[in-house]
Amino acid sequence: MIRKLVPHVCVILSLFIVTYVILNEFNPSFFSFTFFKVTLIVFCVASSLCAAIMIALNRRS
Amino acid sequence: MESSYGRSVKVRSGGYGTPQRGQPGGRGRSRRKNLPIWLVIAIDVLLAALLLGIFYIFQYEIKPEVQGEPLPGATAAAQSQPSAPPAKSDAPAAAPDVTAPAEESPVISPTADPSDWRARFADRFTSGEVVKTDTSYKSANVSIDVKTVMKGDVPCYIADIYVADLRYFKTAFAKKADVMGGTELTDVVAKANDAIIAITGDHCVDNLGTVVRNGQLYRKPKSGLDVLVMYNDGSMKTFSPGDFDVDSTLSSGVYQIWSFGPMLLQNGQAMTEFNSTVKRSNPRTAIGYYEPGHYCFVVIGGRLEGRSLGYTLEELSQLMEELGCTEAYNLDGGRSAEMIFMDKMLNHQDGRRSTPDIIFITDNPEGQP
Repeated sequence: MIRKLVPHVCVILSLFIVTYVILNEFNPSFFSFTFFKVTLIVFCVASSLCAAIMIALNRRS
Repeated sequence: MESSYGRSVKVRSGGYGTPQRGQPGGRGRSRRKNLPIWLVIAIDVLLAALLLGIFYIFQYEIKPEVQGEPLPGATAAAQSQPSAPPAKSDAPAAAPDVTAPAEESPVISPTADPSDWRARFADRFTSGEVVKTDTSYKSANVSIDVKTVMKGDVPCYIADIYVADLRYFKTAFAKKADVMGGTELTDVVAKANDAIIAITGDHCVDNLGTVVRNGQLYRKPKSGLDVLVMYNDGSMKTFSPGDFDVDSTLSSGVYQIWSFGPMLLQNGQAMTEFNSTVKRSNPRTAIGYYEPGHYCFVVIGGRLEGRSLGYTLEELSQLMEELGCTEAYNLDGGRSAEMIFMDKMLNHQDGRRSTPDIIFITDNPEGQP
């Protein structure tokens, strides 16, 4: 289940972060939002997990 | 070992999990047809948009109401206020109720000396009557002169303000004057608070940073924005985020703190580098400080079709230096930039925006009807 969900979580969070970066151009305090920081941490964890799964799959194949 | 990866390979070989002809269809997962990859990505994008929409609604549309907490020394300060001389009320809308008991006044400084201001700026105030013109307002407590200066095709609205007492310099939130959370058009908030002149504040609801209004603390943590502090003695000082210490500032007798910026002057001199990314030409709002009791409100017009775009921060900084301010601070601009003088909006632009807070001068600080 996790290996199915993680890529989608990565896609969604990456879109979140791109949106934040664009918004931050207009509202420079945007990066200070706690919500942004939490999103960034979750994205890092999800992308690391995704990368680990990909590496494992590549090794098996 | 049969891994789930192995299963996924099988599914793919069957064309998105469709059972191949001649083979038994199987059960459960192998029978199900997988969605095309573009559709899966599109669903992810839509889900992201939906979640961003929910975030937007909770962050910007549903605003929690925040009550202020009195800062230390507020009660004693309020009781220390002397009453102002009575004004002759030929101006019903803005006539001060100076007979109101001092205990009802908002938080004011233990160190401010209103009698000193009244004496120092005596030539600015009347002996009691209210004198109003299209560009000025003078009473026993307040003196406001508004001038419009055209610099090229950019209209600059400059209000020179003297107050006899810090009580006449106030801020208010939209909808409920002492509760942070709502938004309304500037003129609506100004009228509700009996403002003679009003400008937009720091858009505190959507921004981060320390917020103090009329001696009440609404939000403590600082942000990466420059800060303007107005002390109980009527003086103002701008701080960069690195120089701003919340606790020591709050304990030093604070009347207002705005978190927006950037600061526009350094030691009274115009600046060229600013703590802001919105440096291009825009309608602007700024507040300037000369000395306790003497301030200026500045609004730069802009975004008029075929006309001015407004000022860059550098141009605004230059203007504040030319005005002779010792401290100056940029406030919420763009579509928020508005100056309301005696219930009339002086500047005009294409489009307006509701604002969470205003800075205003009133002759009726107790808010009596």
